[in-house]
Amino acid sequence: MTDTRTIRIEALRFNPETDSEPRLQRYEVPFTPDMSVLQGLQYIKDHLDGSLTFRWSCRMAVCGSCGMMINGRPHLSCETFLRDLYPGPVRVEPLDHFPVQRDLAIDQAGFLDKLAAIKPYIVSAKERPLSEGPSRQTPAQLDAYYQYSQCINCLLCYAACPQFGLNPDFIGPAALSLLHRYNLDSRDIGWSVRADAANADVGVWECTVVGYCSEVCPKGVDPMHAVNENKVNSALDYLGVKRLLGGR
Amino acid sequence: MAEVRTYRRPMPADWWTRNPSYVVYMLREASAVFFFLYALVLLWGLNALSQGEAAFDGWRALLATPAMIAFHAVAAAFALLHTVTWFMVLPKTAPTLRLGGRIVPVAAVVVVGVGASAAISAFIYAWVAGILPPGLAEAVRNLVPPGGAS
Ligand code: FES
Repeated sequence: MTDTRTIRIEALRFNPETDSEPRLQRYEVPFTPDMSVLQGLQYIKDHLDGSLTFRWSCRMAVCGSCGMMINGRPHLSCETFLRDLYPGPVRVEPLDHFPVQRDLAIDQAGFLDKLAAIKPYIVSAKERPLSEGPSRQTPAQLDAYYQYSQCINCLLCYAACPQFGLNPDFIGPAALSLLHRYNLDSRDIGWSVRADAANADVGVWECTVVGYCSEVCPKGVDPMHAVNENKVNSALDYLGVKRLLGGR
Repeated sequence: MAEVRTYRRPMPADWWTRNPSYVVYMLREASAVFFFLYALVLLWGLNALSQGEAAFDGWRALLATPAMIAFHAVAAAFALLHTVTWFMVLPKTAPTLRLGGRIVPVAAVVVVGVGASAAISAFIYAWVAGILPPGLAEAVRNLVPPGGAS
């Protein structure tokens, strides 16, 4: 094919069974203009080195599996194109601030615990029998939380957060955005259900308004806004105002 | 299941130099140091004032030295940076600001905010320096009783 060019991809390699620390490995990868960085890595895996490990699933910025550092910035590798990085080289590394499990795959266990801690599901005041039919919401009620419901847990925002880098216990941008998402939902009890997570030392107050999380979010979620609106909520809670408002 | 061995990459001391967003953040945070030093200079002046005219004139002479002028220039630059970046993050730190159902754009918040700060600063400067336009000076005299500031 005439429009095939070659680009060098430098991938961070780490094998927990044999390596004491990571190293970089270089690959010369032929690519066409329609190929993403993820497809470049798949080419390496299929043709050059079957041991290269990375996560992916949907290939269309929906599943959130393929996040990695590309030339030092957090990106979804399935929506970053090699043609835009030509002539390269393209440096791919696992997401910053996370422990490396193998090659480009990070250990997500810490995040999954945080996600569970914010109760990422609707907590309603009372059980609704099925016979009552669907819970209806007005467009305005949907609009209140819609943006935050777009989070795909890709963790780019954590790789963009130096506070998380300095303190791995920080609940962090995505989990706090989802906390906000459920608190804002008219079907949910709201604030009081998740107050402890937000008020904790490692909750919203760990944020120092760097704001890079909102820049890198591939879904326009704006975690910085979610976190900082909850500083207001946390302060009102401290002053007892939240209780007056029925815990919402 | 066996514990998975992972590799933790240390966070380098120069992490903030690696991304322009982090550099701006660190400069914004560093502005606090200059506010602190500037406050000390003002307190020093206040103390000199309480010790009489000679001490106060000494402090004023010190302000006119090149080093102090340089310090004030740098502090003023940081104050400006802080003002602009403060209004830039305001739409994120405060609940969403809406006007007629539409979200107010960041640029508008920055322009209105910085404009208002500049106007208030100019007003205070003109008041203290005694160069308020006559109409405004009259209004201020009515608001602030004799013996007050001015
Ligand atoms: S592969 Fe699903 S988001 Fe990239």
